[in-house]
Amino acid sequence: MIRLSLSICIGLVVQVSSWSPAAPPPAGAGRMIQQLQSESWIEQAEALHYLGEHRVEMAAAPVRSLLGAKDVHPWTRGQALLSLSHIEGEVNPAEFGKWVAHEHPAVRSSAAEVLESYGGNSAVTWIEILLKDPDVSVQCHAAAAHAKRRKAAAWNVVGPLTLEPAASTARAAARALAFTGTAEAHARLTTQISTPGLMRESLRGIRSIEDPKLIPILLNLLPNLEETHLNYGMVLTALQNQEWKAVISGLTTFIQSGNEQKVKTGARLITTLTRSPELGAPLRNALGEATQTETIEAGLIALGSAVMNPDEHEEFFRSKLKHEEPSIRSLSIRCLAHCKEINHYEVLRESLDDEHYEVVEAALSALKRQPAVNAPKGQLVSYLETPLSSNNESIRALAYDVLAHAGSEADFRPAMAALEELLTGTDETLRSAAATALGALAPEDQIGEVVAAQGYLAHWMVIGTFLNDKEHKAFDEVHEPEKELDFEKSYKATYIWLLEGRSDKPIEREVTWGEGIVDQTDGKLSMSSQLPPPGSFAVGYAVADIHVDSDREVFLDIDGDDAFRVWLNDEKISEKIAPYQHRKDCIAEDKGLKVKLVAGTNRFIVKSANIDHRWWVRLRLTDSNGIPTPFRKP
Amino acid sequence: MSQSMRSLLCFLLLLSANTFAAPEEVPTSDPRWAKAQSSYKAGSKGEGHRLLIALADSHPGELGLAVACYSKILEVEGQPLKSNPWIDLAADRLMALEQFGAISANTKVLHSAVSRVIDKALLEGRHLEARATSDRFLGKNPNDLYWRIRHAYNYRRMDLLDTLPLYQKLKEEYDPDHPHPPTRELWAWMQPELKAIEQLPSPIYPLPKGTPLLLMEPDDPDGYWRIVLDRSPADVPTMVDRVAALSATQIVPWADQTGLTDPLRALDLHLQSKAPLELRALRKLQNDLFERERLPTAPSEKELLALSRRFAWSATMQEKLLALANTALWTGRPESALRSFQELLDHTEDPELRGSAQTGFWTALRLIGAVAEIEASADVVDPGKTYPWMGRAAKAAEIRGELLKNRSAPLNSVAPTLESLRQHVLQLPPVSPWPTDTPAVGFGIDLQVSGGQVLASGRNLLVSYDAENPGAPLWSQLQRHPVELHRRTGYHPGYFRPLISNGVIYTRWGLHSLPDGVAAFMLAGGKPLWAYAYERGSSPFSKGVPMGDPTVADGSLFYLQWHTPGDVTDRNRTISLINFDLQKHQPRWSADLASSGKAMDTAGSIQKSTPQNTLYGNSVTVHRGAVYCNTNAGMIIRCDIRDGQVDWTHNYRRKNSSLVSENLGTRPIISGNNVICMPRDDGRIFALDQRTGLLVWDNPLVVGTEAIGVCGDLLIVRGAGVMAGLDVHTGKARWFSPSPEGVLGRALLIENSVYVGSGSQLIRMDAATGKVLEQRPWSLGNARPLAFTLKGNQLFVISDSPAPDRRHDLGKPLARVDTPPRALGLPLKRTWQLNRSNARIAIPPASSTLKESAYILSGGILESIDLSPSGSINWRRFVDAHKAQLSFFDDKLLLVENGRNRRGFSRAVAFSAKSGRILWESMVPASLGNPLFFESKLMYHDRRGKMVVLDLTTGETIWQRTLDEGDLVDPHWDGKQLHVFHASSWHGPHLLVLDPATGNTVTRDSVRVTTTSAPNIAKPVDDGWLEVRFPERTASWIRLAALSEVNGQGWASAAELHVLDEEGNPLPRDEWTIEANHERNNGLRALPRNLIDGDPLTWWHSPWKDPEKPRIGKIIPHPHFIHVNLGKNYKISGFRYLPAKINNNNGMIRDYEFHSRENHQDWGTPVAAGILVNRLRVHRNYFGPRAVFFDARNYPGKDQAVFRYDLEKKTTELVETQAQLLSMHGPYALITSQNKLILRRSDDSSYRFELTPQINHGHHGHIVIEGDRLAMGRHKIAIADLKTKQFLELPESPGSRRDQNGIFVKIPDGHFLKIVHHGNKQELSLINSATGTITEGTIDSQTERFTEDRFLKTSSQQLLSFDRTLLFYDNSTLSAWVTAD
Repeated sequence: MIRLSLSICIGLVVQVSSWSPAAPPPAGAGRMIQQLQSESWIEQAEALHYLGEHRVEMAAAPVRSLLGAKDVHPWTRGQALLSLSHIEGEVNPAEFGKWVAHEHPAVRSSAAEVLESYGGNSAVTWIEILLKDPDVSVQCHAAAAHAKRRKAAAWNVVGPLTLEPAASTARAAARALAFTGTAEAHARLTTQISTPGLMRESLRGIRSIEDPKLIPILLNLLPNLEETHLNYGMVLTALQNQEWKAVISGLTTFIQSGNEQKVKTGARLITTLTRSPELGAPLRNALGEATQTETIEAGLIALGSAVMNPDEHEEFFRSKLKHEEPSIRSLSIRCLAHCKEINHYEVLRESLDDEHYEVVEAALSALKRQPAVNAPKGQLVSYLETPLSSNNESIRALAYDVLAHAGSEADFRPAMAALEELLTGTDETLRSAAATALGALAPEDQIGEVVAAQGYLAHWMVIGTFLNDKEHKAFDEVHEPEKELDFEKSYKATYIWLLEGRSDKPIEREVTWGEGIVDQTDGKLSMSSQLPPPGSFAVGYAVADIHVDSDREVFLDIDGDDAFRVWLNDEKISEKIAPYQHRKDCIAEDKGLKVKLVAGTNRFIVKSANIDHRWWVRLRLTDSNGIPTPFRKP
Repeated sequence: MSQSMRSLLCFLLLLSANTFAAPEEVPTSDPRWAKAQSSYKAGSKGEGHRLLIALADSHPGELGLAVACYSKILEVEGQPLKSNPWIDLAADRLMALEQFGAISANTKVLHSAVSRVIDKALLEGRHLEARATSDRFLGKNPNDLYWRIRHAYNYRRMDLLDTLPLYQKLKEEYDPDHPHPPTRELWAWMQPELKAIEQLPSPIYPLPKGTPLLLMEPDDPDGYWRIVLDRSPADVPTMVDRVAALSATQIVPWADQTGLTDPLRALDLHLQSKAPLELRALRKLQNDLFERERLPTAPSEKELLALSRRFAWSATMQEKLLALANTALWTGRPESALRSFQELLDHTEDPELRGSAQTGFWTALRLIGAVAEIEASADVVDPGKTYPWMGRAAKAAEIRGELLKNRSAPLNSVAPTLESLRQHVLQLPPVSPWPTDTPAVGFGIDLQVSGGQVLASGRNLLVSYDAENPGAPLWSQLQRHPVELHRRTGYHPGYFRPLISNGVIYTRWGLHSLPDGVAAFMLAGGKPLWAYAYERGSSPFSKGVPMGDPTVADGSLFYLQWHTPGDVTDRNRTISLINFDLQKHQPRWSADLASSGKAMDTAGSIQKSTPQNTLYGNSVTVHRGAVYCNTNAGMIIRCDIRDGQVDWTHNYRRKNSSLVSENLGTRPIISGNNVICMPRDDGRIFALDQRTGLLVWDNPLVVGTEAIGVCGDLLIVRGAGVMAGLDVHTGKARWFSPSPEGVLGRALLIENSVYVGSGSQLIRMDAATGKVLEQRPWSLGNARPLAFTLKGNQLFVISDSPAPDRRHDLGKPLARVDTPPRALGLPLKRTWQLNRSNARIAIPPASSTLKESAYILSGGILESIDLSPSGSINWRRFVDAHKAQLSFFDDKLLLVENGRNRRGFSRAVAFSAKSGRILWESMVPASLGNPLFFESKLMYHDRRGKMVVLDLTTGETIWQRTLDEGDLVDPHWDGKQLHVFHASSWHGPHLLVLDPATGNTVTRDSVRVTTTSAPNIAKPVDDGWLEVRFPERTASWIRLAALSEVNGQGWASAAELHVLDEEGNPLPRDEWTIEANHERNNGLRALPRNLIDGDPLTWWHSPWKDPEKPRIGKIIPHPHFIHVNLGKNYKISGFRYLPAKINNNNGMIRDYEFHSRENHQDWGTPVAAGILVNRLRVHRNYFGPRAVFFDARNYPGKDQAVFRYDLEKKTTELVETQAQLLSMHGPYALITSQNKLILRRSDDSSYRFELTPQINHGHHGHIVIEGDRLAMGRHKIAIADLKTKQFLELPESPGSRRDQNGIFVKIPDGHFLKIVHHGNKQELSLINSATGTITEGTIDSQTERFTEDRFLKTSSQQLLSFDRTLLFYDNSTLSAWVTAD
């Protein structure tokens, strides 16, 4: 009798519900109410959980009807009982006894679970009844409800019940132990939760209980779990349900335990879960003792991300630059790349000579992302000498990128000297990469050198635009400059402005010859930027004179957008029109054309036509091996 | 597949290495677990899945077991680019299990499951669910980068305006060099996404409180607007006036590019935000200028309105505007008057003018019926203040009292319960309601109740019924106009809902397939009053098409009209607002709102719009002097009701969606200060500020189909598979729930109840919560509902059983014929005919018990015709399908819609062929086109291995499965077994036998072709690996050169590469460095290091495009090299290659060379060379008795040969070389080889009969073989006995036309009939196929051609076959011919 009264008193002060108060139902509640009629128990349980969690009052009737349906599986009915209690925020004393005395243990278990949160004074009586239930699972659930009320005082009930937990009772047993909360109970919980067959259910049991004392228990599970294991994810979820400050504090203790496994696990948690800068110093200190590569890797990864204030750990990263493992060396470079207060060009100089390409790759990637101001002016080519001459294609490409990113005009000459061989070589990929890098460094007036070195015609005289149409009709017309070539003359030409989709009448203007400059290292003479607008529905002419010392046979590559006709020394040598595509590149090509150059000056005349979009033309001279033919301006 | 979907799937593949940790232990002792594992090992995935699902289902509450089962299913299915039902189910269940804690959101299996579930929801238009799911996972994992990235990505795909801040936040944190490799990969995946940040929609700006000019971007080269904005109008009145004068030629866009506004209006709103004192100088200036303005002597209203906008602040002009307003008021145009009075109140400071304007304003409100606003004005206007009223001064309170007198009390309508409803069934006349095409949603019949009548309306009909006693129609107006062939398809009409006003019906009308005018009918009696076809005189747009039902206001009709110089699809189009004068029955004025290519269509919306969404659009909304126009062409436009002057234009975002075609749209809905819009060309619902047209809220999630109405502060909408209640103030869903299957046309909102009809029942929902309150089945007997409406407690339902046709009563003879039926023979005589336009006719096969009938589908009506000489119509019903496939099984008729995709599905309906009763209705995947009947089942399948099997007695799906990697999948029922010939370039050809009851594989045999002479083919080892061995040698470097690709393309790829030691075991790969050119535009996917990462799902790929010329797209040709530095010298004896599993076997290496070397040596000659992957590429196959014929080649573009696979012996023989399989006719395979036509038999490998030269090679498509008889007659007639391999000698007849092009049909007793159309007659030749005897005849009275493609043939049927009645059909008339006496 005394015990009962005490229970009643305690029942009065127990928090009634941990669930949120009723609010307007979420928009998806209707769908979930319909889902109650699903034939799948999983979908029914999902709906019941959702409706309970959101306390959807209009779901009370259908949930109640599911609870009362005898043809529904008892487990599902148990879930309905839980859901209904949450929706209503209470239990109805008049009818709850029915569920406590229900024939099926699954329903009685749920009834016991309901009593963890609801039931007021009557709950104590019902818990008493359920603690004597013939089914152990029901007893354990009742014990959890009891422990939630009685805390440490519940040990005499919880202790015996949790001595030999089975998979079917593990969830309730774990809750009972967690609620009891004594050292003894936690020790037993630790044993239970570490048992492989019981771990998942135990985690399910305690995942929603917020208690800082559970954090070490959860953390201690992780070193023995693979990150891909389902239980690993469960632990992460359970940790996220704890108060965040407590998790950080627990993790600090965990890292400082002196156990290298825990340091590694802690580092990984920092990377994937907490990303808390305050854990940086403890982790760095703990890493000082670490010997295993995996631990150091995990530590570097954790400390090196941008959110962890990597500048604070710069010394630590630098200390690993000469580590025997190339993976650690490259990782430390990646970490240093996130430090803002160092001169990476100084720090990473030696890494560029590393024998492992992944280290060099990491260093170059890091340099590519650093401010160019720190790069050695005028010395960048020699700084990058090793990677520039690497036999690994991606290393070389990265080195060109760094050169283009950080180089200055002062680096152009040395770079040109170092890379000229590539410009005149036959490997198109390398030639293009080198030309792009050099193009980024070259003073504006020296880009032509990079262009010419590759065999492209770089210096032109251009005139235009003459009116064209969608059928390139003007391409077949002979315009004045084609009849006689006089760079001093000017001609009448028409053009059309296309506005708002309406074609206006042609407008007349005077056009004159001007110098055409190839200002991109890809050798393209951009007609639209060299000639007066518009560049659409247009025809233009370009003339280039080159000087060679002796008669020779060379190979000419021509391409252009959209159409070209080319004469060499007054003889037509090529004509191509690309099929028109609206607002797309329409590129015509004539490659490997064998032509004869005469000693002295040779004149190329190009008639180029465009409908819309880009407009350019390009000529390149090579020998039979694909090596650029040397020539000069007359 | 969209780029974003592809990148997502790439991402999933990227993450899938060791994605799913297998369950750590056997989770149950239930034997089904072990059985499932055995099924997987045996290659029966479906069987394994079924076992696991049953296992999980039978253990409620065992969460761990359920997680293990569904994870296993996902693991087994892997990460295919396409989804499948197994993945969908498993992903759904795992996500549900996460909800109650059975699995954590921090596991990769759940990552994958959730993204699959969201992808599917987005694909099906369930965006509200997708968003809720995305929000839930982010809410529970707010710090998890994975869920944050996914959340932002999902939001972008839903086109939510909240996306931009999420992307901006991620961009700030973007860390592509993160030290954690998985995080780096996440960022690498996100990188292209972040590039799209520029295209993301801007968030909604707050509405301008004062001047709107701050949010505008006027064209302001001289800085006038800037000065007006920066300075007080008191300081710069001249400048303000200058801007007003210049504004006439300008348009002003909003800075966020969401629309335009009338610049004078913008200036006006700016000035109205100023204090009165600041405007004094401007008033004076404008008055002076207006006084000096040279006005026309008798200015028109339009001219006066233009002046009133230009000189809005001039007191003299204001007096003229008052006169204009009063005239409008007294001539019955209260909306126009209201607008003018409002403008006066906004501008004038003259107390007298203000007083008159205020009185006029109240009077106009009263005439409009806006009494609530008059009442509300009591709060803002001093009741004691006096105003001019009836020639005297009266207090405001008195005036209001006068105006509010005699107002009618609001009707108290009650939402009836379903139980209380009295149902009336209405029958429509047997006329196609939609002659051109099937409406996108429902049957396109609208119903409304007015004046004691129920009016049913469709594009082609108006039918009225007595509402109290709706039996036969009171009257009907039916159009039976010819269908223009070029407009037969392609339009997706909405509803035709005429306006009924004062007992008159106003509707769009016209005698073409598109209505080209408006017409009026008396509601009582249906008498036509007038009709007007709208011509625009000198306008370049000769004709217009009304785009929506008319709205009445100001004594006029208002509607939008679509003008194009040519066909409606012409790109030069203009949308105009028409004010149609109801007195004069002609347009009063027309105002162009937007023209394609013109400045007002800045976004090119009109140009890009599609007529099928725009035409048959929605009516306009008139509200307080403004007309709100939903163009359904990218713009919402508000106009001045007085002259159509555009106030503002809003360009809404358009996101193409396949679901949009279902959208019925809605007229703009006025809600407080907002106007809510749901255009038909986009699924989004949004609200605009009435004053400025600026966006207030935007909801793209519902993918709206129909706005049902407003209940309190909820807008009730139906979307793609969803019903929802949206908060009218925020647009957010307060509730949503799945909509019923097969919703009928329109839903109704009455008070707080929503009434939704489905094919089977009427449902009443609570509008406030979406809760289903009641359901009531239709009681229509055999009939189905087409549409419904309610009035009080009366429920009116349109039945799909048409009303009797007085000319052709059901069951009555169509012609009087006394002679008994005889087999067809010459001469012929016509016995009856029916006019049916654009019909499809199905004749049951000769073996069927239905053979004396024909089935006609025309204009949405399905009929059964008795084919006896006297003929009769057995039954008739409306069918919601115009284009459909008809087929027969037993005594049932099966109809499957063609070309109409209902969210990935087509509808299949089974009818009792004898009675027309619907037996069942089922949805079949629209992508599956090929039917196969077997037992009492119907299989739909595609050529890539997807099969769905329906039970023909119930329509339920019995099983479905998808075979892996199918390039060619051909199922065949031989009467006992279900065979499937399955070929893929990954696995080569196979023959499967499936269990017809479950689809499980019974046997699987490789079809091996042994004739290839290719050298050194690599040996297949486990799991797709290929192995090459060579004599042992020492090497520290190796090189694999790919010389060609299995599909003949220029690239190469590989998933894994191993080098074998002297024992044949793989060497360790830790020390390897690997170099190979690789595709660089593919992120991490194509890197060489993927070759040695141990993951079969990642791969290396050679450069796709020349990096120098990416735009040219030039592929770098073979050879492609993989160089490997082994790290040190090893003894090697071979290598293993695992081809990459990429779509279409992209890059799979065929010819190869393998080199090895020690340091500093040359590569020298190859140590091995030959073929790595030798795939037989099957082109097509045909089943015959005992064997399958197929043609195939094992090198792209070369040496195709025909093979015969013996089903019993399981052997393959080469039948013809350099050959191609053309067709199969019973046991005979028709093959072409070097311009010869050859027949081979499947059951006799020695049979060979060359048909050339007797049959021209080019005419092989006309060959028909029935039994052992070959007949060909579409051109030159040829008949052969295939048993004896002899052609019949047919008599020559030089003058006969029988060898000309014509129709060849089969008639009884081994006869064929050749019909040649010549001039206005038909020349007939009757051929006896046994003797070759030919009789000729002519029918002079049949002038039209026989149209063969209107007759539906089953896949096995070669020729049309007629028994006693020959049917002619010419696209409009069906005539029946029998043997003459």
